[in-house]
Formats: sequence, structure tokens, C-alpha cells
Amino acid sequence: MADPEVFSSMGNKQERYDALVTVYSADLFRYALWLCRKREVAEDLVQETFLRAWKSLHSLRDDKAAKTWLFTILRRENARMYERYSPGFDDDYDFDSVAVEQEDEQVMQLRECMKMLADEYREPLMLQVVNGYSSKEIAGILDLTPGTVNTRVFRARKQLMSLMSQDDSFGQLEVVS
Amino acid sequence: MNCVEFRRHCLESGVTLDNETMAHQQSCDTCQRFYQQQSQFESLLGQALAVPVPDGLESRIKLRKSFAPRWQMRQLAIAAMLLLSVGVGLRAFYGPAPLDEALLAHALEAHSYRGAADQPMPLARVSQITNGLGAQVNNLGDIRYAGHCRIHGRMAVHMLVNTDMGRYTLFLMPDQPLEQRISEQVDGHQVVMFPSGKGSIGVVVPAGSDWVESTEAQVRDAVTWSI
Repeated sequence: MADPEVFSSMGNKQERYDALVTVYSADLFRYALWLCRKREVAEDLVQETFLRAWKSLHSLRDDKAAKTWLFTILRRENARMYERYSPGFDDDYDFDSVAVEQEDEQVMQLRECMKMLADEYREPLMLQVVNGYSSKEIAGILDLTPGTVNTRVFRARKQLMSLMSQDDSFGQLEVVS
Repeated sequence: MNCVEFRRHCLESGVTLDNETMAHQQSCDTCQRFYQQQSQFESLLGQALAVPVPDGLESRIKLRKSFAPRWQMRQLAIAAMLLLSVGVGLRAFYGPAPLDEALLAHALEAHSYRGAADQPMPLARVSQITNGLGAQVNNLGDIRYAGHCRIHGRMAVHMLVNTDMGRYTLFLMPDQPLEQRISEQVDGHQVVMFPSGKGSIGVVVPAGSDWVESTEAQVRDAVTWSI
């Protein structure tokens, strides 16, 4: 991931925007996919997020906050999508179109377990594992305290390990109390 | 640090160890085994969560943005006119792009990568997608693509339909109310939108297509709403 300082040196709005897209679009897509479950919707959500970011890029004064800022926009956009109408999606996640061929069976099983986690546990875990965010950064994005974030990722891992220990292929994993 | 604290640390922050936790891990066989298990788990977790990103995502984000400046100019012009003549119009200035342009932008951008399948989409799959937004589609013909998308921040169904005359893009928008039918020519395309249910429907065809009216009539007959 690029050094946030790279943004500071860019006076040009277009360059700044392009840099944000390059650095954060993949992270945002992965997050969006777990959030809204559908590939097409996730991509639209990311595009909408960047459109909003473009329109208010002037308000991003501290480029070190860009990451949190973008994720916050994405979460708000996602919430806005459902504020007036809540569609009855089928529950399954749309991973077929993005899954790689010959994926490890254990990885697929773990992904199934991830689907069973409550959103409040899955979201911070995903931000930590995939995006490498600290508890403080996750707290900023999810509007929680770092302590709450730690508790939720702790419980998320415990639940995952518990779910997997019910599966023979993960029988070797120890569930910690 | 004791074993319980060590394990809590691992479960809170993955397998990233600081000096204190590392010292404990090296001095405790049980926690060393736990750490090895945990490392294996974290590796799997990372793979499970890091779903591949679609090819061309970055380019499409930049492409979508390229529509934005033109919209802003148009909104500016509209707002200026309204302010002069009516004294209102600030909403238009700050509001989103007109719905017809939004549909066209989405249709063109989506065409570039979604394409259509070689075979008609199974009707059961189409129903699953449309039902999710409260719409039922019957006898629409050869549907080559159906999926959820966002128009003006609201959920919609995006479809590609083949006919003998050509292919058209159809949007079912349960959350985009419209007062009356609108037909606009935008950038070489005809965009027709009309109220339907509590929302609206949009049809995008190439400009000059003499089959747009028959298509619209067929769509009106084919789509019903349960919301």
C-alpha cells in the first residue's frame, strides 16, 4: 500500500483522485462485497463512493485520513441504499464470479463459516485481516471504541474457530476459551 | 504476560506479536503450539477474505467519474436558469445527474464489461433477481443478463434483452418514482422512462430505433410489482 504522504504532495485534484483509486479501490471492493453480498452491487457501491469522494475531495484536508474517509463514505452509501427500501435478496453471497479456480477447500469452508458470523463481528475482522487496519482505524471507520473493536474481533475469531472445529477438516484447531 | 493474555492478544490482533508477547511465546511450549495453529488459521482467513477484485475495476471507476464534470456543467446551467426565472433551483444545482443520463451512463459503462451471455438466462435465476426488488417479469423474451445495480444510490434491476430488432437495456427501479413518461435522446441513445408501480422503468436503445415504442409496450405488459 502506498505511503499516505504520496497524496500530500499532489496539489492536482485529478492526480490526488487517481492515487486514491489506485491505492484503495481493491480494499473497498472486498469490503463492499462482504457488506452487500452481490458483486455487481459491490462494484456500483465502490464507484459511487469514489464519485462522492471526487465531489468532496476538497474537504479531505488530512490525507492520512483518506482511508478512513473513503470507508466511511462507502458505509454511508450502503446504508443510504437501504434507508427507504430493503430488498429481499437471497442470502447467498455472490462469490462465484470472483472466486479463483482450484481454490483450497479449506479456504472455501472458512468462507462459508464467515458468512455465518454476525455483521458486527465480520466487519471489523475483515477490516483487520484484509485491509490491515489497526483497532484505532477500525474504530474510526465503524464509529466504535478501539476496545469494542478488540472485543469483536476476538469473538469473531473464537466463533470462526468454533464453527470450523465442528467440521472434520478443521478438527485440529483448538477452541480457546 | 501469562498464557491467557497471550492467547487473547493473538485472537485480538492476529499473529502480530510485540516484544512482550514474543518473549512469552518463546518461553512457553503450549503457547508456541497455539501460535503455530493460529498462524495457520490466519493464513487461511486471509485467503478466505481476500476475494479477487474484478479486472478493470480501477479503470471503470475512473470512467464513471469522467461523466461527472459534464453533469455538473449541465446542472449549473439548469440552476442558473431556474434562479433567474423562478427563483428556486438550488436543489437542481446540488442534486444528482438527471435520471436519463444516469441510466445511460450506467448502461454504457456496464456494457463494457458485463456483456451478455451466449444463451438466455434461466428464467428461475431472472425471477430470483427481480423478485428481490419486488418485481415479476413475464414473457419479456430473450433475457441475456439480469443483476442488481444502483441508480442514484437506490437498488435497481439491470437487464439486457435481445429482440429480433436489436438488444436493449432495461432498468427496473422500484425506488425511483417518476411523475410522467420521459423520452430523451442522450449521446446517441434513446432513453425512455415511465412510472411503474411505486417507482419507474427505464429502457435504453440506440437512437433512431423504430422499435422503442413496441418495446416499451411489451415491457409495460411484462412487468408487475408486488410492492
